[in-house]
Amino acid sequence: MRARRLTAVALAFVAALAVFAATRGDGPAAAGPPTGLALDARPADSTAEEVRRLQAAVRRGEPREAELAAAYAQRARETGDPSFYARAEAVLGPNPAGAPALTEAAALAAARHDFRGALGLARRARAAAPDANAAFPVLVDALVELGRYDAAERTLQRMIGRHPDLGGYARISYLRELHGDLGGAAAAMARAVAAAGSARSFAADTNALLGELELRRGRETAAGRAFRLALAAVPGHPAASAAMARLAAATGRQDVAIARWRRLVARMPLPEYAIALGEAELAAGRSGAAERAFALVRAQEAILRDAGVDVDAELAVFEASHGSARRAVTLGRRAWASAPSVRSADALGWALTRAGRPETGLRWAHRALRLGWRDPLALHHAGFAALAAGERAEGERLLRAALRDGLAINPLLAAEAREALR
Amino acid sequence: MRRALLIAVVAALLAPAAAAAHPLGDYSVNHLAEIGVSSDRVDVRYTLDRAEIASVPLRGQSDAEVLAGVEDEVADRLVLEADDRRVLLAVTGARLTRPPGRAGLPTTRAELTLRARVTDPSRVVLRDGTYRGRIGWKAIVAQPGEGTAVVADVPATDPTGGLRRYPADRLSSPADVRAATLRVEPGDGTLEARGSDAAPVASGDGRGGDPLTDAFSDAAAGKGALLLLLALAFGWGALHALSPGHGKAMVAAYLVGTRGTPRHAIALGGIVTVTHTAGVFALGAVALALSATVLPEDLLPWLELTSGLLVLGVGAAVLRRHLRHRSAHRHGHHHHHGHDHDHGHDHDPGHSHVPPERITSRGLLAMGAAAGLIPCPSALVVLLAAVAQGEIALGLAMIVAFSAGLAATLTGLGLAVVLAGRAIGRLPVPRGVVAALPALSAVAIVGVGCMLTLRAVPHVA
Amino acid sequence: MRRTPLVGVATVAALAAGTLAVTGASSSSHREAPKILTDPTADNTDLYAFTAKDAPGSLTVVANWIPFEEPAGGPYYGKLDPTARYYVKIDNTGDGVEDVAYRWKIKQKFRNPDSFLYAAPQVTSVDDPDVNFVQTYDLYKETYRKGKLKKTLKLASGLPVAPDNVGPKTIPDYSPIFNGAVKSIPGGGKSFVGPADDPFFLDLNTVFDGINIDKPGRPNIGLGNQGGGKDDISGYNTHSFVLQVPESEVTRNGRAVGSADASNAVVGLWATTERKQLKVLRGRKGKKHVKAHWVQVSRLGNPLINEVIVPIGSKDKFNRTGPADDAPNFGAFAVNPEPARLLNALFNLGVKETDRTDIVQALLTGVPDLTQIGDNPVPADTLKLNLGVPPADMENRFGVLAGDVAGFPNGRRLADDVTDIELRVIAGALLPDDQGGKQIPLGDGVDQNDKPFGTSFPYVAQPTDGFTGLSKRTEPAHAPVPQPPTGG
Repeated sequence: MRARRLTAVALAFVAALAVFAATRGDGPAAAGPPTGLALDARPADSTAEEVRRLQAAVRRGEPREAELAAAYAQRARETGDPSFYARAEAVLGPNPAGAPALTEAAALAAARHDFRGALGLARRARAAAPDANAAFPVLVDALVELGRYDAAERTLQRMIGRHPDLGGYARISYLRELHGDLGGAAAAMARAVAAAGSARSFAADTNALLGELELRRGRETAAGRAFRLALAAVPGHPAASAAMARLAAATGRQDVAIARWRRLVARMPLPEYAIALGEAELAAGRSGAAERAFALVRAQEAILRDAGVDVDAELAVFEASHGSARRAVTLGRRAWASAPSVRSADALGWALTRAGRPETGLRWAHRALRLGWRDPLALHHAGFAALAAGERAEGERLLRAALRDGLAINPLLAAEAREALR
Repeated sequence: MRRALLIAVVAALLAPAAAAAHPLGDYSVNHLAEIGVSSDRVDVRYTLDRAEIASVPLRGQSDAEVLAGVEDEVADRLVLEADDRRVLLAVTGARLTRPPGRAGLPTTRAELTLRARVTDPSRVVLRDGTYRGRIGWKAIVAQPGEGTAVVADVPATDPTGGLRRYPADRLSSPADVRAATLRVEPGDGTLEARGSDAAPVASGDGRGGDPLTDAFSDAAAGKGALLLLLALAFGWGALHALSPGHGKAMVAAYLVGTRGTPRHAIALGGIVTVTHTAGVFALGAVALALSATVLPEDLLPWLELTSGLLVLGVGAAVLRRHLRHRSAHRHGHHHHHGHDHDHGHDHDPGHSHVPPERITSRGLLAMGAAAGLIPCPSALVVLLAAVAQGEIALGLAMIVAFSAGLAATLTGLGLAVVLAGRAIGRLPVPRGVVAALPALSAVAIVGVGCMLTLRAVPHVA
Repeated sequence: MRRTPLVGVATVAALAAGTLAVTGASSSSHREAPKILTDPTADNTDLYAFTAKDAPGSLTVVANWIPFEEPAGGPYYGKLDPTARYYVKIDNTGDGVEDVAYRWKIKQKFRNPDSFLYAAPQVTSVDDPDVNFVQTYDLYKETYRKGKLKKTLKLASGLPVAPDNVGPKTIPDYSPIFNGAVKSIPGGGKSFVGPADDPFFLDLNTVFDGINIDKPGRPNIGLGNQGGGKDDISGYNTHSFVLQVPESEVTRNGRAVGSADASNAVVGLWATTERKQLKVLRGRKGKKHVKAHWVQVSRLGNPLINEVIVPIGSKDKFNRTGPADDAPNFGAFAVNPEPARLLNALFNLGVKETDRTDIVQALLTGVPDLTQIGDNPVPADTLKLNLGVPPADMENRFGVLAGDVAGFPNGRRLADDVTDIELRVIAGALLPDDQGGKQIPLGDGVDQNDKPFGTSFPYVAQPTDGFTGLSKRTEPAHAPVPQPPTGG
């Protein structure tokens, strides 16, 4: 009871902060662009219908806010329109109560990368309905992003023991990947694909992820097949489109890759895609075109900075590679403070390395790789940190590992690595 | 009652915060076509609003180039049919502005006026296929013409004020209207619009729509708002102190139990401010430092426990001292049995007939620390939020203001208690009651301490 | 590759965490455990069991999976999960534990791995090579004693799952394909697996919007039972597993049923789906205790139990537990049913709210002398069928309520109007008059399926085809009308 009132006051303050920011000509990016896009091509546009139905129900006074919030969140994922996240938050109100509302609130917090908030809400949801499974997924996600991998593994094991399904398999895949078990990750994701059946957006998401893993394992044919299945399920699926571009790069078709990146960025300029386009343009020697792509990233960074939520590791890596190393270090620290995951460790390490502190950078790189993660970019960062720190042997080993584990998807970095190994 | 009010305020504040700056997202491409059918012509006003990120690719282009692009898109994909024949919409006016958006980034706003020549059409259809696949607000609005009576299947009102403010009604979705059919008969400029579809009329502007937010906005940028915010924080702290569990009973009881003076009350308030601020800062620092391994929420129960034990200790000390004095006093009375004291003109509570428990600076400090240390998760959340948003200085300032507000209430209460205590001293209240007050207070402190401790224990375990 | 894993998993995460009805915007059995809605391939929608008129002496079971399949599936037509186990379980001793179980294992392949076309014109038979995406199944019969698996028998392997009805260009005549998927199994039975019109009929809004039987424009549709409901399942397909086996295969003594009061006459059925639990991290030392075993993720016996009787916080628990434990787990919800309170709150009907042993009997312990197994059965949510009751000449959609003892809750026929029956039972149709018995003509206004059922195996109606399917094609942003502009 008291906690709830306290939360109300706290929320009021956070809101006040936000309003303060707003009066200075901006506002907080409450959600930013939704990261997990899944354009849904279901012919009946049934989520929109569900939204309308639930809006009417809530207007009538039925207590179905949690369902409406879930429907809004689904709309946000389907359309890429973040204003649906804002609506979902508004409909839940500042004090969600009851397991379904708490679970939705937790998922929303995770969507805006407030993983601590998500963790707290998910725990409350679990406590409110111990027999329900719904809060498990976001609980696991929050633990993973907060770098609490052992707790995440335990929780996920409980979750999968109670109800093995697509969500559990996909998360097992990710944890295995973080621990360097790419084969196991692909096997778990294959189960997720099977469980998705004919549900289009699930089929697209899981196939795109499976393909990425296959690509990292050097199995280009299997990867391409998965990507095409994803695109067949949801035409224009952004993650699958991006994956097709990477596949083209990995198989030496740089022109195809760039054309794909350009089409995707024109439609959906997520920083991740714009950075990939810029680096591909750089690799092809077109620095003007690269700058235009990077401008999209910088503009988004400016907006996030203005709103005070520039906490994504991705931006730190971008700044380190293509901008101010000093600023990258600040961003990296912020990323680590907000989500102390291996990804954040990688970003901070790379920023420190680029800022001329490769010894410290290498220590953070070791932290990033401590689980056995075989991400080609992280390996690339660690390799150059080691080289700059004078650890020639280790640096070469890491760069070779990066090339082996799929750095070819990024021709710019692959060329750098090969150059350094010569 | 008060809580309801508070929640209302919270809700009012939260809505715009959640709606983000460009309410429909930085990628959005929003467009509105307003169509009016007259007997001899169709007028269409086409407005385009590209959000910040959607405007980045237009950076290198001149206004004329951007307008040409919009005109091309409209010419290709904004299709007008009169009686099932496509008719050409000619551009009669075009204007481009680039209003600043977030982070100083320009947005893009194009306004085209278009006109088509028709003669007494009976059915007019407008299909808007522009900027397909882009997210955003897409609307067609009907307007009355001249010499016609029109029945439209789209709304007649535009809740966005020409794409300047977007409704953030939690129970409606962004408009997505791509086609309009208007049935036309000769008339005198009337319009019957349907298809409002429970139109999202409630207008909550993303950049501030409710009165409170407008007040913030109107307080102008920068300092005005800052002061207002701090005042708000102070007020909240003051109100917040009234909620249970903030030690006001304890402080009051302590002051009564120890026969404090107004100076003590004020000092106590100051100590509470300092300890509360320091507590929040320290907890914030610890939380940030330990963020990799411990979550702030996990720390709170421990703090609560510490605070509870501290209060318990202070209460026990006061009680023990009181009991000791009491027995000593009773002893003394035996000795001075026949002696009559005059209490009536005794203005100094320190000289009341019940020997005072001395207020030691150590006791005062401990009490203030205990009152201030009781963790205030809301304050902590504010601090962490401020840090996360890169507004550390502002967060600190707000915490100080909040703590000051908290202390102000406690001090006020303390003063009231002290003064009331004096008044009681002057009143012909039975001696026994007055004499028992300090003891009761001490017991109350111990009780509060026990309660806090007991409440904290299960959370710690 | 930056961030991809995170974003990707976050996507799936978010999707899976989306939890509530949304994916199931279209969802059928319909709106139950939040979790299961994101898991369509494991979702039991309905279970039917009856003695068919053309097959006396045999048990006929229809078990459906995958709710709300859109007929137009593109290359992604209805797919069963090859990594899941699909079960129909049978209790013939009254202890709520399976004695016989039928298990289906799905296999799949693309005939031409380079093509993503589901099928190429023209498909004329069930094993036509023009069908590119092929699913087949193996059928097993498992025999248990006191819940322990004693024997597994492979009844058939490589039988075809009927391909989806893509549309008239690819499949000019679907009947031979549908009927071609009917296969004989050893021991004198028949089997069919494939898409079918979802036989369930129900006005979802009416029932789930707070039993919203009073609607603007059609007042009292439920109370007066004047029809006029909208069949929200109409036009959607599901995947039907239809099985017909001689009674002797499933009775407690392995013999045919002599009469309705024979000791082996009643069997209780339910359907489940199982998925494999995985060890999160492979090959880690000291963490070997986690075994990759099978976990039940969905269960269905009587219709609408989990939807209507079990409260939201317990729906997941219902799906992972077995019928034998229903009494301790969910008995209270049946004895004091929430819908009864709801009916009273909404319509002030004076329905008895507590101590509803009539509901416990109808659904869990069985109706004495009709669907009760033995003398002292364990209360269990199984669909109980008396194999000795001959099929009715004239079926009544109200089944036992209307004196047609060959219908629900004695088993369940495809045409039984279980929504209306359960609403009326909850309102007191089975109670004696002096104990709150009430004959209130409640209903959702939908009285029959939109498509007629077949009179011979597999009985279910053929699926709606993808071309004429209901899929309400929205009309976003038409391409410009290709007409030359005419100046004004």
